[in-house]
Parts: sequence; C-alpha cells; structure tokens
Amino acid sequence: MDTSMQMKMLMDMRRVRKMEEVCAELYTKEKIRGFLHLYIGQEAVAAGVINLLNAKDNVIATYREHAHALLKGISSRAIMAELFGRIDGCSKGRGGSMHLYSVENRFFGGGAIVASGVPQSLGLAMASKRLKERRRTVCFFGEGAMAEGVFHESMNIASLWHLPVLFCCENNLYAMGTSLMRSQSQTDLVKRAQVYVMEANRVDGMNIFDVVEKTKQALEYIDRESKPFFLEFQTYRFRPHSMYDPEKYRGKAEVEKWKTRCPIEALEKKMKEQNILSDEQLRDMDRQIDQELRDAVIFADSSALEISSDLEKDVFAPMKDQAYETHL
Amino acid sequence: MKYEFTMPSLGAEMDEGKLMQWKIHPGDTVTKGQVVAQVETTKAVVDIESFRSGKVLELLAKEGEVVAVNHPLAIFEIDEDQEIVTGGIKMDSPAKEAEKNTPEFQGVNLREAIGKAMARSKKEIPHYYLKRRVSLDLLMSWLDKKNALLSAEDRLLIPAVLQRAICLALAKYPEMNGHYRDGKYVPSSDVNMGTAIALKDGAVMVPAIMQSQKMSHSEFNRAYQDLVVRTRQGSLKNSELIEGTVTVTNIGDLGSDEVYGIIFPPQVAIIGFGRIRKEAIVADEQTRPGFVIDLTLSADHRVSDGLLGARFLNEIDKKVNDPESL
Amino acid sequence: MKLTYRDALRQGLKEVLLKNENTFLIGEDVGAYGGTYAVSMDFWQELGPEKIMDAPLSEAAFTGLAIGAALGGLKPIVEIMTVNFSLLAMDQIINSAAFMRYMSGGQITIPLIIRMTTGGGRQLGAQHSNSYEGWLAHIPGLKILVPGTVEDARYMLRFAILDPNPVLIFEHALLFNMQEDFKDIPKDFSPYQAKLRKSGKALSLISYGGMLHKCLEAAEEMLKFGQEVEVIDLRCLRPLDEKTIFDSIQKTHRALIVEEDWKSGSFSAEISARIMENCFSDLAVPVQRLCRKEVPAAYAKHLEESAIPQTKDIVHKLQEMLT
Repeated sequence: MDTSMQMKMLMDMRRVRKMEEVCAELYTKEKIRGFLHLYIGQEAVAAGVINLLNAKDNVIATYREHAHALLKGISSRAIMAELFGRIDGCSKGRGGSMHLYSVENRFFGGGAIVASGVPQSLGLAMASKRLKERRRTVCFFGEGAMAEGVFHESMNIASLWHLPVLFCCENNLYAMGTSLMRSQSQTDLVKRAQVYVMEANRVDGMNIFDVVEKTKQALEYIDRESKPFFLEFQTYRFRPHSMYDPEKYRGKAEVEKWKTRCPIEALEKKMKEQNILSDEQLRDMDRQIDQELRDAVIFADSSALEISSDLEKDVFAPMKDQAYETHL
Repeated sequence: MKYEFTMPSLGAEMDEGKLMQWKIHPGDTVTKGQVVAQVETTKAVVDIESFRSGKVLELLAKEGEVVAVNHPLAIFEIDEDQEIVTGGIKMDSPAKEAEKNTPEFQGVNLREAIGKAMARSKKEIPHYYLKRRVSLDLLMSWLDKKNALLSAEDRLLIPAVLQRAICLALAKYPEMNGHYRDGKYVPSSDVNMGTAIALKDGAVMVPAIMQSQKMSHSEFNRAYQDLVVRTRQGSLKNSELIEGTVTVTNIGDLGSDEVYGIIFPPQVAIIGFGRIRKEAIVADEQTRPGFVIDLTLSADHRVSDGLLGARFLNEIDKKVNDPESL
Repeated sequence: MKLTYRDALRQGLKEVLLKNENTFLIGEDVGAYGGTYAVSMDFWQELGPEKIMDAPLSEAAFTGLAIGAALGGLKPIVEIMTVNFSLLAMDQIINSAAFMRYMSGGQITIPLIIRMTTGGGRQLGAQHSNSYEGWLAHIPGLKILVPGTVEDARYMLRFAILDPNPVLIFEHALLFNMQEDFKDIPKDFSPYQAKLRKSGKALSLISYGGMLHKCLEAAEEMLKFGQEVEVIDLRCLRPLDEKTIFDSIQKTHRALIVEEDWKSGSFSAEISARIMENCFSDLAVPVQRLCRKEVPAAYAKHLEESAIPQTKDIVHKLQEMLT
C-alpha cells in the first residue's frame, strides 16, 4: 500500500470508529433506538475490503453494518438520519440500524436474520455474471452464521455453480454471547470452507496490511477464475454485542488484551515509524471527521419524520401502467 | 464548561436505572470511555461509561437511588471542543412529520399524470372555441405610466394585469367559473384562478391563485409572482393544486399567438392569451400600428355556449381597455 | 380445443421463459427429471441449463439465491416442489422477499415468482398434503395467486412476470390432469381479480383452486332443486378482490366459503370477517365455511377423503343454507 492509500485507510478507520462512538453516545441519549451493534475494533476489515472494491460492486452485510454502509458510499448524513428514524435516512427511517440499504451504492443491507444475506449474494453474483456486468459481489457475515443450515447450502451451491462471491467471515470469536469454541465442532473456519472445494484463506483482521494483501489476492482469483473465495478475518469487537449486553460471557482481561491490537493504533504506529504521518495530520483528520459527524448529527436531528399517512406506501412496487400484451 | 452526565438508556425497554456504585469522586479526572458507575437495570448490572473527558465537579445521584433515563447523575467540567459532534442536538423538541406532498403528483411522472388528465378531459367535455383580438395600446401606455412610479419589485406585469381583467369579467359570467361534477354545474363564488406555469424540465403545473376576486391590483400581482416562485420550488399547497375554478394560460411568453387549451376537469373553461404583437389596426378609417393580443376561450358546451362565450370575451376586452377599472 | 391444467402451466411457463431473456426456472428436479409434475418436461433439453436450473435440496438457499438474482436484475421463477417444502424457505420468503421493499424505504424491487404445488387428496400423508396459501396470504408484501382453471394456469404467468413484486403461485395437485375448453386470452384478463364462474341469486359460493370444481359441481346439483348458486373463483388471495365478493352478497344475501385448508385461522375466516364487517346488513343468514377437518392428513384413503370437503358435503351444506 502506498502512502496515500494508507492515509485513506487510516482516515476511513477513524471515521468509522468515531461514528460508532457517536452512535453509542446518541443511543444512551435515546436519539437512536431499538438495537445497536457497534463495529469498534473490527474497522480494518470493512476498510480494507471495501476500499479495494469499485462503486459498482455489490456488498451485502449484517446488522453490524454501519461501517460497511459508510465505506460503500452512503453518506454519514443518510446513515445518521436513518438511525434517528427520519425520512432523510437511507431507508427513509423504515429500517433503522439493522436495515441500512442503498441500491444506488449497491449496498443490499443490512439484515437482522443471521446468514440471510449469504444465499442472496449467490444470486447477485449470478446476475452480474449473466448480465456480463463485471460487478463483484462481496458478502460479509460473522462466524456465528456458519452454523446456520442455509450457510452450508449456499457454500455448496456457490462452489458447485461457480458463483464468484467473495465470502468475508468476520470471526470475532463470539456469536452474541456464545463463543466459537462452544458452538462449532470444527473451529478451523478455513478448513470448513475448503470442504466445499472452495479456495479459502485466513487473515489477521487487526492488521490492515494483511487484510489488503489477502483480499487483493482473493479478488484477483475471483476476477480471473469466476469462482468463489472464502476469507476468514480474525478480528474482535471491543464493545459488547449490542448496547444492552452485560458481557458475562467474556472476561475483561481478554478484551483488554485484544485492545492492545487495535487496528487503528497499529497503523498509526507503523506510519509514524515510517515518517509518513505527523501529529498535525492526525489532528487535521480528527477535525475533519468531527466536522463530518457534527454535520451528520445535526442533519439527522433536524430531519423530519415520514408522514404517518404514508404508512402503507411501498409495501408493493406499483405495476407499470402498461397495456398487457394479450397476444404473443 | 459544565457538562451534565445523565442516566444512559441501555436498551429499548429501559426507563430508569438504579445507581449501585460510583467509581468516581468529586475532583477526579475522568477520561472518555472510562467506566464511572455501575447501574442496575431489570436485566443486569451494567457498567456505564463517560463520553467526555474532564473533571468531576459534583455527584448528584446517591448510591442506591433510582434515576430515570436522561436525568442527571453528575456534573463534570469539560473542554468545550468535546461538544463539537453531539453538542448540537436538541433534547427536548420532538421530531415533526414532513410536510404533505401534493397527492396527485407525488412519485408519479408529471407528464404522464397531465397526459392522462388531458385525455380524459378531451373525451368527456364537449369543448367549443372562440377567439378575439384585443387592442392593448391603452393598457400598455397606462402600465408604463403606472410602473414609472413604482419600485422594481412592485412593477405590474402584463400577464398579471390581463389575468386580473379576466378575473373581473368572470364575476359577471359565472358560467365560466366553477365545477362540473356528476352531471351538475356548481358556479363558484371564489375565483381560484389556475395559472399555467412552466417548470424547468418542461412540465407544466397549473396552481391556482386562491380567491383572486378579493385581491387588489397589487395584491394580485404579488400573489402571481409568489405563485411562480413557489411552483418552481415545489412548495405549493394542496388546495392550490386541486381547487382551481378556472384556468388562464399565457402562451405568449413562448411566442405563440393563440392557444386553445384543454379544460382541466372539473373546471369548465380555460382562457388563453398569446403573444403581444404589433399589428396594423384599422380605426376611424385609418390604418396604424398598434399592440394587440389574441384572447382565446375553450369552454364546456354543457354549461355555456358560443353566444355567452363571445360576450364573456367582449367583457374582458372592455376591462382591458379601461385600465382604471382594473 | 381442450387443454389440461398441466399443459396450460407448461405452455405458460415456456412462453415466459422464451420471451424474457433474463428469466430462468430454478428448483429441484425441474431439469433432467422433467419436473415432478412434468410441467417443465423437455425444457432442460430445449432451453439449456442456464434457463432451467436443477438445484440441490436447499430450499432456503435457492430461494435466497433467486431473491439475490432479482436484486441483481434478473427475473427468476422458483419452483418449490410442494408448498410443504416452502417451510424450509420461509425466512427468505417472509423476512426478505416480502419485507425488503418496505424496510429499505421503497428502494428495493424484487420481481420474483415462486410456483408451488398445493393441496392433498392423493394419499401422500401428513407432510405432503397441506395448503399453506392462506398462511402466506397473511403476509404484507406477497401476492398470492391460486389458479383453479386451465385459462388461469395458461395466462397468469404473462402478468406475474410483469409484476415487480414477489408473486406466489399455488398450483393444485389434483388439477393437473383436468381438461377444459380453452380459447384465446380474453381482452380484460387479469389474474388479480375474482371471477364469477356461475351466476345466480340464491347464494354466493366462494372458493378457489382445488375446491372450485367441487363447488361448480355442487352448484350444478343445486339447479335440480331450483336453486341458482353464484360461484366466485377468488383466483387471487392477496390482494383480495373484495368488490366482487361484496357485490355478489348484495345480490344473494348468503355466503358459503369452501376451502381445503384447516378451519381455524384459515383464509376463509378472513373472508368471513370481511363480509361481516362490510355486508352485515346484506346478510340474511350468518356466513358459513366448509374447510378441512383439523387433523394432519392420514394415508388411508377413506380417512383422508373424509377430512377434505367433497362435492356431496358442499351440496349438503348448500341445502342446509337454502331451506
């Protein structure tokens, strides 16, 4: 990665980190409601992978998707307004934290059902292959999703039918409160993918350089072979599963240990060592990020609610008023 | 600056929490992210953190006290710049619903909607058409004199003046101003004058100047200009779009002499005026150049007929050529 | 010309597959096997493996794949072998296909067709003999078509393929061999409206799918008693054509709903409620329902048959209501 790319990665990771921290605070103030799943600690995965994609590539993710949504191109304004439940949100306030969507940015959610996006990524990849669109499809999910039946079904079909999906497993060791050790008979997730006769690799998800290098290799394979690739990103969330989680299932010592491997601090340290990052540049970055988020928060807070009489709109898409062809 | 640390909401069902234990004392330094207390909720005992760095000034809640969400627990002293991102939010004013959009045109291709309405109108309404050439010399010289005394923003525009003349004529010809519905015509006491206004993308909207008969000359003028601005901005009221009682269309701006419009149901007439032209006028056995305009009328034959229509146009002509009466 | 329901489905499906470049059929045994009900017989050989995709036994995954394909710009037709197996794909059908448009603030369009065989009566046992179209008609965001005639089987796909929403089509298992007279598509054909299959003033007999013909037989029988029963073929459960139902009841003042689903919480209960809410003053007697007895389907023929409303049961009920 050259200097400018490292700067972009750092900037994006810090943007995500700050945005998630702001969300935490706004949740405690009841501006954001429902469930809130924060990505803090895992920033290198979303930043590394999505920055290697083109605007036209498809991304489908999970309920812990704020970072993926932001980096795929949805404005922080639209995300924040969505979290506030307002009409200017990317899902018009209808979705909330777990259902961020933007067709324009080829971001297909967001999803509250674990593993539900996995089979859908197959169809997206198949469509782009059939329509000769040269669009890649990237599917993010947690290691918990690998226990779902539909995950197995999807991996089988992806490999069998050569559907060029990049499967990104964000293994943060805990599916809500249940550790990988306690839920999977085979905890070597790369091995689990290889069983489907699929290329697979393991990534240090706390190291942005490893993320970028291995993702690049995977994307090159997919572009060349038009077959799927599975990446296991070993990562960790520093915060609880969601805002209301007393974290009884893991010890504070473990959390503190992983915090010493913070991907943002690691990149900052490396860049400073190589004299390509100064404290002043960091301060500038912070200022810029604070401005962006301040703007987003004020935008969200002043955005209106959707009119309640529109409640029943958009259950169905309207039929085009075309004259039905009655003859072949 | 003083910062109020409040009881955080930690979940959808949480209304209040019991402060079990403080982990800070007055005078302590606090860093962002630091756990400052333990709170008991219906689900569990949870650590709560500070989102600011600073100094603890005062602990307001006592250990064992139950405090409602968003109510104060402690006061800190913090640097102002920490309030940059979330400091701007309003805690007390609830969000409001968006302004209602115009129903017919929301989410529908405007051109398609207009097309459909026009097709229906042509099918259902028996139109008849009349034209009258009106001399504008008197009006224009009167306008020049009047406008010379007015400020730029109060200047009277010809289309507005012409519409005003039409408005006054309608008072005498109620068969041109009202709604035809379910086989019955109901004349309207108000003249809600629909005005065709072109939008940037080429579509045309026809909002109404409501109760135009009540307006003074300058009021009408202002209302007309305001309507144009608001139409182009997209901030019209529902009533302005659906309660028009008659429509006037000025095709002259676009260079046409005559326009035979299609009536917008449930209205029963549409009056058009074209380009102001200089033409040869024969008066008192002499030919001289003069300003003229073609007034056209499309009207519903179920409500009026050619005779009435001709008289109506005559009335407009009279008014135009008696500017003081406008 | 006579055509079977199966052939009608086959022709309708082939027509749509040929006409639309981005349409494909995906399901279990739709290709090499020729389709479990032979609807897609020879399609695989004629149209190729890209158009006709044999899926592994993975209802959830291939339904999800179809949703993703629809998101990506294709128009998939999913064949779930029977409605009984759709239970394995329920999360994708409901939480994704039905809800995604609304959840995304109207951004997302999922033009998806799911065809399923429904109904019982062939001694296939409890796990193969159910009718879940009423259940699914409960979900906002899904359209539910229940063709009961050859004409509907032939032409409804032409419209469903133009619908940008998820459309579920329930083909009744006992109708495949049914032969009916068949003509060109009527000018005003729309699968989303109910139709009067028989006109009458005595009573509104409301049904759909596999029960329709038993109702028509029963109505025919009632002519012997001088009673003209009006038979309404619902054709579509969601959106429900209330107007046809209410207009009919205004005329007849009596209603009997016949359905193959279990009575409690069935769709007939919904129709009954709506009739009560909207036509109370038009009713001379309470609305009646004839539904499947609330037992899982037995294998033994006599038991299975006695649980499902038969023509004689409908006649009996009609006689009760009309005397």
